[in-house]
Amino acid sequence: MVFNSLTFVLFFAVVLVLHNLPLPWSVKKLNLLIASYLFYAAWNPPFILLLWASTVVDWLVARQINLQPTERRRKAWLIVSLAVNLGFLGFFKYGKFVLSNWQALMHAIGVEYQPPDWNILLPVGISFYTFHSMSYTLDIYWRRVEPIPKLFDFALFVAFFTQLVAGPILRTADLVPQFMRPRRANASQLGWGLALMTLGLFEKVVLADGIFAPAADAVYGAKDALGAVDGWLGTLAFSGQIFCDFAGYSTTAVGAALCLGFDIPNNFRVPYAALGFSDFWRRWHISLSTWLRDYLYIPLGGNRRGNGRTYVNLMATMVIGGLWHGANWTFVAWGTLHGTYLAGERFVKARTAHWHWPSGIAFKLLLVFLTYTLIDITWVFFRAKDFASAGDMLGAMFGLHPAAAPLLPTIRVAEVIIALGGMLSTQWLMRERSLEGVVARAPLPVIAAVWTFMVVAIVLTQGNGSSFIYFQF
Amino acid sequence: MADEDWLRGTMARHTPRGLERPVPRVPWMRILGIVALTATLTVAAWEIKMRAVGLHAGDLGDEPAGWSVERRKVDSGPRDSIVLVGDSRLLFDTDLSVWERLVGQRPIQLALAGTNPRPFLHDIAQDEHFAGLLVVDISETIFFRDRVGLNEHLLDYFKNESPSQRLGYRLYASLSRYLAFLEPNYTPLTLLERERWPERIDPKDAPYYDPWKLSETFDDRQTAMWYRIEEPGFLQTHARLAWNGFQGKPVAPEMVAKVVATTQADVERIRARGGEVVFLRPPSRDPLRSNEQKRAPRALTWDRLLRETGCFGVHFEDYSEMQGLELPEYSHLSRAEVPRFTERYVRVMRAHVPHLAALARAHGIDPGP
Repeated sequence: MVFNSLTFVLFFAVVLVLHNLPLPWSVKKLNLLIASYLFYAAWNPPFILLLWASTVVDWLVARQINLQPTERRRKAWLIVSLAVNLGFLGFFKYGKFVLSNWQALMHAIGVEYQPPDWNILLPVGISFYTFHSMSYTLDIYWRRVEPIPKLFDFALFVAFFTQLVAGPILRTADLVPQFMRPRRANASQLGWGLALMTLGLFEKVVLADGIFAPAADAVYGAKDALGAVDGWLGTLAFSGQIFCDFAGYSTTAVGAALCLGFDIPNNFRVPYAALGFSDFWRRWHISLSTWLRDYLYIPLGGNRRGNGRTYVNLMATMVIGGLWHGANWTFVAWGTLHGTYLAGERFVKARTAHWHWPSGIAFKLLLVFLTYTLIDITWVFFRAKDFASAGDMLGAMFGLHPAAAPLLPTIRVAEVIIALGGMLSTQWLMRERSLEGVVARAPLPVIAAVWTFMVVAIVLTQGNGSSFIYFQF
Repeated sequence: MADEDWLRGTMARHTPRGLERPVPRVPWMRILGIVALTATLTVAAWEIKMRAVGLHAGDLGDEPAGWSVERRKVDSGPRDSIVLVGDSRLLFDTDLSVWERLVGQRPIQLALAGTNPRPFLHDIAQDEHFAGLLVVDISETIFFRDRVGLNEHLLDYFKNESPSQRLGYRLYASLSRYLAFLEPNYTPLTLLERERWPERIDPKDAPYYDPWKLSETFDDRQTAMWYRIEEPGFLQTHARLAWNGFQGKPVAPEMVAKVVATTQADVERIRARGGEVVFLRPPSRDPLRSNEQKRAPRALTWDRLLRETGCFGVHFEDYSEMQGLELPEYSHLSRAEVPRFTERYVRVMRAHVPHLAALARAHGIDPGP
């Protein structure tokens, strides 16, 4: 079920009540596990079997890795875990992509191959929970953690509903220790948790779905050539939509976990205020970028094997990160662009290490503007359905169709500019601050007024319970 | 004990990233109380305002999940059920209770505003469970085109609807019985967008000229024109304006041939199972009607469809009792006219379609001459 639905409101109220009843901790954990499975099964009940399979295999394999006396045998068991997890992911997410590319390749060499129909539904959140679960066997293999004593705790770690389908992608050490001892939110945690949930739902329902999505959808769904103003507005609107959608989910997840007494890490930290691309990836989808860093980039050698290899590792990590988002070459292009940006930034930094860069606000603002603009170019590949559409959009943005008729009505233009302006200035102002710090210093009437505004806006905007964009990944 | 050992070992090696999240030191429960009170009062004030505008609690809205509830009835009900597919005319202009009184069975309402009925006709034709009577509404400019229109993805939604969406709709419908403001046409953002702003695009494409709220929906998707559209005034004038006279390109003869062929295939499939298909052309009036005639002349579309499919059809122009009905915005009947029109067309169908006559007799209703 999605957070922005009446079903979730009812579900969460029941979970919250059950979690606060005077029951033994083991019973409360059982409640959470059952609730998490119900949360997942509410999309498509049969897919719960995949979640169970992934859980059982990784738990058993992790124990086997730990028992093996030799590195070779440990590695063999690790491969079993990776094969099962990546096998699920490959079959459900990349099967059609591989077959259609194989068909194109065969066609190119003169062999006509007709692939079978591949109308398989993608299990929601599969990319998240397979990474989530895989991190455990990898941590065991690298001796970062001991095998979790109880399957029950591991199952809850994999399935905990708050971050099950769209992250943050957690590590064993982030969450499992919290299951070992009774946890319940105190009044302050409950209040702050509810406030975070409100903020997250406001971002999703009001900003992403209510304001940004209609403009982005209209521009990216346009059949005729677009002018530069519409092209940029649509892409900027998408930059707002994807941030508010995904950060909205993560903030709601953090808030929901906190209401139950659990702490999960932030997944975003005002990414559009980034001063460069490495800074952006320290602020955007933090749990994925750190996962890729720890389980891919560093094992590939990171920056320890010379300059050339570092660039290769950087690019490989970002390309795989792009492909993680979706089975389409446009996502590969998105990852490649980010890899290129990161490599370019690294190159420039290395060559200008001795320079004295200005440190004033104007220069920082310029860097933020440059970074955000170049990130927007990457969003074109993320949002467009194919390269032809991406090319059309870039052409529009760079003024190839000066005579094109305007597309977005005045009110949508105004909505996007106002909402985006608000979002970007807030991110700039929050660059060196924490939300907790700002709230702690705010007068009580201001907190109450802002919170009320968000609640009322969510209730009156209603929304259509649309899925979060990242569920499809 | 094993847990504690594991915990000590893990914590010794790791600094978890998220543990012990700071919580701002403010009186959260007091603030929560203030927020609950002020938010409730604000929403209540909005509810009062929306009722003053003319919205009603009990209007369930036409949600995809509500349509899916009805679509499931085709498979869970008797094989000889009566199913209605079409666009907004059949949806607004039909009284399901009148049908029930005249033939003893309540039809399943699957018509959809602004939507070509052909994919839904095809869907029912593919459904092996169905062997009843399918009534298909024909608005020629919608039926004889490729574009599906507003509910293009509804069949996908229906096939993939999740348990969560089903439960969510039940909760939404329950709330709608008590709250009037749950109306997507009257959210603050929608109202803002529908103001008449200085426009950078062709003003006719601006949200101001979109069709606004026209109808109310109740249980079983019984739909009727919203009373504010029936009253002379701004909303009625706007509703008339939104149709833009149904202007557009004429329907191409090739398109007609294609549509008739696919419809014929679907009709034959339903007949092969013992079912039947009937067409209905509900009324419209000038200035829409003359434009419809220009774009899709009856001889080219309606007459040919009936001739080649061999189906019976009721065209409002052919029956004196269906003339002179009140159509406040030219395209749909007023609420008061709906039972009268339904009774008239059902009586005609009952007299000509053996399936309906038999159904009526089975329910102890005299189908008449």
